[in-house]
Amino acid sequence: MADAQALRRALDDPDEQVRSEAAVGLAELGDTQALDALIRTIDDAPDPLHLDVTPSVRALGAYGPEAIPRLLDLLDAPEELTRLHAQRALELAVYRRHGFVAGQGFPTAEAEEAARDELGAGGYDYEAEPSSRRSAIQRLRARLGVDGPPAD
Amino acid sequence: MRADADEAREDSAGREIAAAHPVLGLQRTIGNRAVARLLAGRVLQRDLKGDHKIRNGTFTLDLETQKNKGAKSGLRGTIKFKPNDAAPDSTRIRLYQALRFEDLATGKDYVWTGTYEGRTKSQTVADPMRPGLEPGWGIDFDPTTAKPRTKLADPAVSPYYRSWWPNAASSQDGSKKGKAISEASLWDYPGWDRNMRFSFETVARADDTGFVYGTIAWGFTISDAANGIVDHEYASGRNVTTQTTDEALKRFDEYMRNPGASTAPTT
Repeated sequence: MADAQALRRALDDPDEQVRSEAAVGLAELGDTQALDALIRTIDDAPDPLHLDVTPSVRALGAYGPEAIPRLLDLLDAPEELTRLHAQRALELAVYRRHGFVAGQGFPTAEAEEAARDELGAGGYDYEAEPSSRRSAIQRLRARLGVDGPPAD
Repeated sequence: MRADADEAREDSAGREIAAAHPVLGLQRTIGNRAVARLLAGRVLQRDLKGDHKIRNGTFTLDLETQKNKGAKSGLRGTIKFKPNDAAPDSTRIRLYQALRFEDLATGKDYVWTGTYEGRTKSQTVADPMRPGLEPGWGIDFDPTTAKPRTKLADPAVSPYYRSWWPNAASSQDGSKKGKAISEASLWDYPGWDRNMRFSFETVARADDTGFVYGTIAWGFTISDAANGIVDHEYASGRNVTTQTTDEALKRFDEYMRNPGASTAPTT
């Protein structure tokens, strides 16, 4: 099993693949710094066939409720790709709550519709103007039960 | 027709640039290939947008070129298929796609390793007995989360795109009952920061009956990644799948040990 301290050091590696693997490794170890590491590497090493998906996007989608407020904050990040990655991770987290399994899809059409409703279909657009984005994020916070202002 | 018009416009633009900047014309004359491509309009990048009618309906592409100098470039957007009134009914129309990913630096198919190695393992291979079969094609799935079946009771692993990437805010499965028609779609974003050729065949199929409505072949090339140059975009509708895509689907089933495959678990 990889040493957590070595993985933390690897988060500063110049190679994005190494950084992303280190963050995912920390998450697999249940390390206390894992969530920070995944957020920090959310843009690293995207799949060339799906640039909206990175190893940290997948791990954040499976991380659990603790990741949701952090992802909501990132939906208003300055970088468009970061916003897209945060959106995908948040979607994955919600899909999983409705029974989504990779390679199987949703168990029913109703389950997919419920996931779409929870995310507020069409409500958030990572390419939208900041004011429109922020309104959508506020609605998402309410819908997902995450109160309070964004973290600093 | 639209492509021809675009190219004519690009050639015209190239002549205007050369007239305004004689040094570029000189560079082209002495063999500067990058300038030659620029003036020929080859670097004027084209989004893949528009309708492609086939016998059973229409594919609509809305893919925008993402040009990112010094970063990752590619195409981003949606592919939709809407069956026409005469097409067979289905309770669920879904899309899957086969793809080939070629590394222009080596001239060979890209070799996926690590958590992605399932892509290379499930690709088509050349067969001298089947001259039309192209090697290097595989179904678009996420090998990092894929779980090939280990038991007879395990459900089949789906080749459909949205079983891996639902992107429910911007895509959906379709259906058709008489004139009540709902389109099927997917959202995609292929691209990279290396010189690569991306080739796809996206297939519209009825999940309940197995009927194939048709396909669209599309793709692009990142010919100068450092400068974010994406070119050679193309798209063309077809009424039937190629034998290569059929073989890619078969290879996927073998890799996933799906029911009916020679590798399927028996207990």
